[in-house]
Amino acid sequence: MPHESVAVTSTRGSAPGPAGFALGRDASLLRAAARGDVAAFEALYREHVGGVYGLCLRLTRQREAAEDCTQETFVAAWRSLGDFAGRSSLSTWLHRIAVNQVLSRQAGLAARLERLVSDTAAEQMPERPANDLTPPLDLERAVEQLPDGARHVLVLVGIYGYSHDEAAEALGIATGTCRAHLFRARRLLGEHMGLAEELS
Amino acid sequence: MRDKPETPRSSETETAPSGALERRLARLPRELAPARDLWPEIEARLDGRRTRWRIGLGLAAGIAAVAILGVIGLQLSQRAPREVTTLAHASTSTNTAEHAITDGRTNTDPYAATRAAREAAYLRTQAAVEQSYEQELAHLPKATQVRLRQDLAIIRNARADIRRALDAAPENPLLQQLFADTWQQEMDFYSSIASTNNPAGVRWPM
Repeated sequence: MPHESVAVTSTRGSAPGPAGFALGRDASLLRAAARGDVAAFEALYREHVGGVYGLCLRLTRQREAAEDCTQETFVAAWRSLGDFAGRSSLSTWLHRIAVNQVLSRQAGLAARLERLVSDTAAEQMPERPANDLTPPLDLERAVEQLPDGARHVLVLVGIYGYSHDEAAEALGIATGTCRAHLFRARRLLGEHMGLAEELS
Repeated sequence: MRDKPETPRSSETETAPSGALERRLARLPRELAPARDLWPEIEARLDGRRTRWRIGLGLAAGIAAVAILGVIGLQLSQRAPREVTTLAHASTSTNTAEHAITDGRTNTDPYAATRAAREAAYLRTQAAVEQSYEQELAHLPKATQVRLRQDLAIIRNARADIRRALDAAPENPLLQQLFADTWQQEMDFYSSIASTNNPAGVRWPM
């Protein structure tokens, strides 16, 4: 399937946004939702859908897949509200579920084939010649074209600000592998976008 | 994963020196708007889960009502033949056919053995899942536990009502079906609790 461009339409301004709602702000809605109050859960959904969808879209690169994963994330969250201990912010908890949903989806055979094609295409992207005067690729588009492993790490670490340990745990990889993926992502992005200084 | 910081820090502190790429990544919006409203489909699935409870409770209440009406109707229908029989006996003591019908209805229950075997199987299943049900229930908030216990009591009360009705009319296929349905409802109830506590795909610590 062809990849769809990441629509850069922020729901709440540009980055860096707030780190997610503090639990205190969400606490009453969470309590009500845990009691089965769908309206309260919708309010939580409205507040957090942008972050969850943004993460899913960058991880999957496909609008439809991102929509599915976002929906699965909130349905799973609804079913687990009673177990949410509040040790992290709600947005972080939702991100965890979202990553799981994306990885589960990508474990399917069709998704693996799609990734194989996209990884090959990404590796084959030509470097920009030194005398190339065309405008550099849009960063979002360039991130989108990264291979899965490198992109996953770049999104979690570079955009969403998680540590290597956290990203590695989320993705089910070793921390060293996570660092290697990020290095590769930075190299590919630098090459594709003409940011040679990033390689230094 | 700990809470996400205000700005990406890992790429600044753990890997390469901060550069143009990191700055540009940090400026990317973390929140993107989906092209369509995803809530209606999510809500439909939430309603499905909640509605399942409501349907179950509604069905249980309906079964109880049917059972009660069945018992009342049965008692009325049995009273009338007995009165007829009494009159018939009074008029003629040689009406053996009516004796046979009356005796067959009141003194034997050809379905008793089958029903007892089926009930024993249900009880074994119930015993097998009830312990895990109690463990699952313990993970839920107290208020939810109370509500769920009430829900289960409704189902069980409905079954008890139907059981009494079956004692009076063991051959009634509707009551037999309703009786089996209440067992299925109880099993569904246990399954719902289990799936609520362990949704598919959520493997992170909560």
